[in-house]
Amino acid sequence: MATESTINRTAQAGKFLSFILGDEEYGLEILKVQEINGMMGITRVPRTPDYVRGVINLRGRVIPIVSLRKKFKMASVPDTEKTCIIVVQVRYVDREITMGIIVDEVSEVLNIGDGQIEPPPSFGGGMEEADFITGMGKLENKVVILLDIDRVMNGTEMEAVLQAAG
Amino acid sequence: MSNSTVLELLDQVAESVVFIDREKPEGFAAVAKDLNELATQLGESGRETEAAISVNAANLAAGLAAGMGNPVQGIQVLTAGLDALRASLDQECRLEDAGVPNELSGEPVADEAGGVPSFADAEAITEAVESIVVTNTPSANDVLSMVDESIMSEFLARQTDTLEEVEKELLNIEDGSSTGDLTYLLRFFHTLKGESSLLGIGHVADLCHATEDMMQNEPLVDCVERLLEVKDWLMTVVRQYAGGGGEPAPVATIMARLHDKPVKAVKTGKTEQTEQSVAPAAPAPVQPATKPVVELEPEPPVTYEVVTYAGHNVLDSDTDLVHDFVAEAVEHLDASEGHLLAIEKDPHQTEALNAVFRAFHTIKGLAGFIELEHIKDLAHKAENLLDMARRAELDLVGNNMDLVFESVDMMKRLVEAIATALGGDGRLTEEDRLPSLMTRLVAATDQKRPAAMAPATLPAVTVETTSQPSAAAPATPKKAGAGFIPLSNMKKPAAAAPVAKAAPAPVASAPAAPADEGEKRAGNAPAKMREAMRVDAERLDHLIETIGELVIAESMVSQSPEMKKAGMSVKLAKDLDHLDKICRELQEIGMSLRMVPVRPVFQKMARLVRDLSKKQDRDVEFIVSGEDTELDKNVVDKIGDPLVHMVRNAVDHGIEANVADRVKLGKPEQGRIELRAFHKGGNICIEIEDDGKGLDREAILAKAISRGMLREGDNPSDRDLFMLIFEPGFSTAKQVTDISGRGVGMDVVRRNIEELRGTVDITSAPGKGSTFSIKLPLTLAIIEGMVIRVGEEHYIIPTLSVVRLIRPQSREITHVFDRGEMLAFEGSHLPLFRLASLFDVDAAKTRPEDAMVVIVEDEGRKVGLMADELLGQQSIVIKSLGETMQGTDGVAGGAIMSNGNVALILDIAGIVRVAHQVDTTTHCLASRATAAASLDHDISTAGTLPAFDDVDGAGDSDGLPRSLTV
Repeated sequence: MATESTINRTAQAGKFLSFILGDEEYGLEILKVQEINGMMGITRVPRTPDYVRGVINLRGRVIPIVSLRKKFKMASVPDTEKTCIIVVQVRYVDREITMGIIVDEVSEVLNIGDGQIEPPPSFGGGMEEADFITGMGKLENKVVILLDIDRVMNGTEMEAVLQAAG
Repeated sequence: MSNSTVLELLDQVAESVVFIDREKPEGFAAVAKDLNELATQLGESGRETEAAISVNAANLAAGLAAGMGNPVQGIQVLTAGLDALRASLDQECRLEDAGVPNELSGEPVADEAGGVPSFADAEAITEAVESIVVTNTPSANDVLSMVDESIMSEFLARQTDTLEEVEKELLNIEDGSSTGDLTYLLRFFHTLKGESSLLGIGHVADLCHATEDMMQNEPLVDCVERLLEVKDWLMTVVRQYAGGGGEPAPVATIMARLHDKPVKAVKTGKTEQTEQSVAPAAPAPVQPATKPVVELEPEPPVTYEVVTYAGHNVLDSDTDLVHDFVAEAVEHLDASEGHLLAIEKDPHQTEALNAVFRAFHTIKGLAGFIELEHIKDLAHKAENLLDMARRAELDLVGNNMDLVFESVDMMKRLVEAIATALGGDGRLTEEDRLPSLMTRLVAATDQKRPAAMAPATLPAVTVETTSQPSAAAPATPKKAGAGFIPLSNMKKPAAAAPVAKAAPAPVASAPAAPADEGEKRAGNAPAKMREAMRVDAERLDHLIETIGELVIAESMVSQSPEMKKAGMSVKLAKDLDHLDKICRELQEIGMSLRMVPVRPVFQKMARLVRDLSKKQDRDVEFIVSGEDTELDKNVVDKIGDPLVHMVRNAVDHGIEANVADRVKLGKPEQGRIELRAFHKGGNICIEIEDDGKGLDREAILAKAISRGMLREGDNPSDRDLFMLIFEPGFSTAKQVTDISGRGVGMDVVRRNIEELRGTVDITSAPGKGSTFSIKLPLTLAIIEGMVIRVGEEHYIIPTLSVVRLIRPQSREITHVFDRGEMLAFEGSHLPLFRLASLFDVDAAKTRPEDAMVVIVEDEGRKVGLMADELLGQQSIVIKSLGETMQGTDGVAGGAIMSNGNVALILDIAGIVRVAHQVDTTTHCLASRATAAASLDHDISTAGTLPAFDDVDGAGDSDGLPRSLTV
């Protein structure tokens, strides 16, 4: 992981699905998104990290669900009508896996051009989540934080879980 | 000047050279012009040497156009030169290595054009001629691609008949019944010469020409021997072009023999035709042809050099094709094994022999297509042997049979290696034993070849195996074109049809023969006509999953309380019923899609018994029944290992080593092992029965007592006692040979079978034999499970693991250190785990007296699990939790419940193992408490629980070929 996190990947221009966590707006490469679902029955899986909410039945497939708020160490909020599960295809080691991420609200699909992307900000040490950011999308009236979802799901914690799992 | 333009031009020239009519020198002029153009372009792109060759070639062609020199030789030189250029441009190999004919190398010399080439010495001549001839031999595909199909197939069909006539004529000459019709024979060869040169089969034309010469120069009687050889060779060529049969020896060999005086049968060295031809640059370096040996002494054994393929990267080819190849090859090889076993029992199984031949032939074709030269070579050699067996030129017994079996094995290994390579970096590794096997195969065919004069079945051979468009035409129109339409089973009917038409006589008897005795034996039933198509297993799984989802959705709708509240109309109720019925039907179909017959596994066992009984020198009859019984694909794949152990034991230890022992007991000399599969009450049973000496009760008892498993004076039932042989301690070879011998690998057997959620049982009578019965669930994907509630969460415990459900009394619970709990159960104390605390569930019952304890067992060790309530028992489709969640401690997988939610299946083995880990190292009671605590600890640090093995029947990580035949 160490080597990977030192490589600074910058977001490419293209379409992004934007979603909201609290007051912040985030963007995911649209190609990573498989579908968006409303909240459904999540089965808690014991003995997993706290950001793993559990598993759901996605048309016969059991896929894990991760709470992005928890993952980013943000305060938890109760689920609302707008809470959504975004099903994403994540590259894990050498294969694609399907998982869901819980976000407060799905916002829109944005077209972000090259000129609108700024390199990720530097927060100095102590904020490892900054690693997940590939750039800041600067739009007319807002700033969207562009995420590298692969890296979010491949973070050191996830790695630890998987190692534990053998 | 781009490289591709040069290559294009080169191809064009090569094509026109092939099409040159030797009688019409004008063609050479055009070639010369093209070659000059090529030279210019090569010169421009900085390839001086190539340009020089091209100029030389152009000069030669110009000379030929002017009528100077021998056109036949000229064409050969040109072709060889062009091939060398092609190789040099393609592979970037040095020109010197590419085999440029001497005439064309060196600085361009204007006046050399067309002159008869001057060679340094005799050896050079031999080499040059050889290289020319070999490279000039067009491969079947090249010819076919250039010539109108219908003309070609008509030509081939005619030749088959005419060649037979020629042979008859020749034989008549030989036995003196005819003085020979020289004119007829001359006319034949002359016509053939004309036709083949028209069709671009230059080497045939050349041979015919030489034959004509010979016949005119020598008395006919002296030529018969050689003419027969020529006829045989031509037959091979015809068959090759028709898409069947092997490749003929290089024309040089046969040509050389025409010039020999027929003092005695002259043996030629086995020469290998290289695959160079026009095929653009096979990646593997090609082995040079060995020289024809024309000595009269018996030749030393030829060592066959295998085309090196160590560096070959299968990923260079279209990997989809390679995948298909592997799947198909494995299928063919498995089937072949069955057929071979049948042939071994009854050598007159023509249809089985043909099937094996077809299998190798198909593999050869496929391998050639994806440039797996070593496989193609091996298939070719084996095919030669089989072909001779088909033509009754040799008997498929003893050494020859072993060779074929070995070839099947080797082929399997090679194919496996490709499968591995596909998963890895694509590099192939050398198989050590391949060259030796090749040598022996060649030796076996060579040995018998001179005796080859068998007539009769030849025409059938030609048509039957056709897979080229030329002759197969209407029956298999698309096969050759698309190459790999992966509908392998459909080919069977297609290939079989022409047989019946072309050769009613030899084949007609085949179906009758197996009818009486064939039913019970593996593989000798005629190929089934059932149509099948290959489907990607992933798609299939997806379909099955979707069906499952549909069923759940349906039940959610029809069971919804709103439905009942609304007061359903009769019509709606009826419609819902109908929907329900369709859904269940769909579900059943879905389940059956994954089912495959156990036949391939049983066939492997038949092979194993054959090999073992040979090795041990025991006469064993192996009877198989129920090989069409269907099991989940995953079960079939995993049942092989345990069966191997059990079958091996049956041969090794079951059947008496000494025939006299059997006779004494009034049993037939031949031992009998029976392998059966059948359905029984929702399970599949597989039984292995032998009529050997049976398990030695006393010895097992003694062993068990000495190991402290039983006490002196214990008198367990047979069943309980025999089960002891599955104990790991009983299983090491040394200990086992001390007792009856049964038990090698038996713990492996039990473990594997338990993994498949099956059970195994033994019955045995001394002197009469033993029966091992395996009971397996129909599918791995479905288990019976008990649904329990803990707080608000639902969990599933596999019913197989459940020993008993109890509602404990407070006095049965013992506390240790205020943490660990134990439960008194049947006189012993079991560790008791509260699932609620294990899994951090809120709002669960805290008093054991109010709760319910499930006693579960794994490998004979029990623990108690405390839950709130039992909700019921149901069939459950196991789902993997996905890779990220796989191996979550204490959880074996998920299942989708009727409300659409996921419930977790407990990993009982993992929980029990942790509970007993500490328990076995220290013996004081208190440590049990630590065990309980340590489970907590272990699980949270997650070090010791084993990863959840993908028990999902529809799992996606089993590493097996991902396709199923349905």
